[in-house]
Amino acid sequence: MAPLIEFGLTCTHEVTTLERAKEVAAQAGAQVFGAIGVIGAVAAVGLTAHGWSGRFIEFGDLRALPDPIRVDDLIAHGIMPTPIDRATRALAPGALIHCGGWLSPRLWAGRPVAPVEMKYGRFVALGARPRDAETAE
Amino acid sequence: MSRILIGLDDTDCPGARISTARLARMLGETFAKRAKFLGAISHMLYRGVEATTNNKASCLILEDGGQLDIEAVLDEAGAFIERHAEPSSGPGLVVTREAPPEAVRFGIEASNRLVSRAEARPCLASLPHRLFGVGNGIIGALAAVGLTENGWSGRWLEYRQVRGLDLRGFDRDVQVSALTRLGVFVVSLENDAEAPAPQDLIDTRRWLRPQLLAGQPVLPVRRVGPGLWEIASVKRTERSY
Repeated sequence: MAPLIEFGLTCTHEVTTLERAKEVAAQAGAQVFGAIGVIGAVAAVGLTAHGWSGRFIEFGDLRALPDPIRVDDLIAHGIMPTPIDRATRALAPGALIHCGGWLSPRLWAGRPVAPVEMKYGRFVALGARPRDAETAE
Repeated sequence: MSRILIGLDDTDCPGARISTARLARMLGETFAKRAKFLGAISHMLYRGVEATTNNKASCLILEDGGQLDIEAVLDEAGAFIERHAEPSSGPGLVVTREAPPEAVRFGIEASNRLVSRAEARPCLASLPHRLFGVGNGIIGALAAVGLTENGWSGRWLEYRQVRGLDLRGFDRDVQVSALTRLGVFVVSLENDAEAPAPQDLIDTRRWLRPQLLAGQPVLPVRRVGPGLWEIASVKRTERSY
């Protein structure tokens, strides 16, 4: 996976070529089909394997979760809510998290994590509807 | 387990010469020849918790390859605390290789409501610990090891995964690659959740304290310009260019 991860990370800030993507994929034993989209596809696999960037647009029953949702319910659904304020105090299991109708967990440490901040006296999950969400629906 | 968690709290008092966080660092350094002092994490507890300065408790992590004897570490850490803690304080100390689920639950409770020493007692029965003076610090010490075991709250005040590198050795502006070398994961809070580039700069506002997330040091950042980021959740201060 190391070559794929390295390629994925490089693609976030450097222009690369289709030939290089195919070379890396072959090195990692991955099969590729198609043309220019192969670059993004190989990079997406690498970045997902790395596990520290990107957002989930689908994860289990993500779109069917209640809003607001309790911290322990969110954890039971496999999504870890985590505070990102200065105190970073552990969240109470019964605390409510408001998602604004669109929960969009980050890929952190290889798993879905919902960064949460306190706004107007309530916990709010960070994030907005991604631009490519329609494609996922 | 090849690591040791050392939770401590209430070693200081207002105006103390040595804060609990500093004492934790000093204590970690005393073990540095026999184990790797991986780091120290500060956990913010509920504001009503007795005997925590600014409601913060500390937890050290040592990596010893399973070589050190836990009771001996407890004795040595206890003697160190007796020597350096403020006389008017009531320190608590917990030393363990693994905090049980009850300690994790206790830590989360202590972060969100007032908890008592009586509530800590059942959990402490199975964990090596010491109390000094009135010993109210045992609440924070137990909470600190539980929360560190859980791995989803608190901030690293020290992180020394790589020999010769630590969080205190950086200027205000830090390159992403420098933090990656140290073992800190930099994550974007922007909607695109993109990976910051290695050569990008982060304005740390001289407060480089990564969060403990998934047991790792993680630094959430927000984009402020092309190739420029700032750490999240820190009060803005004027720059002095």
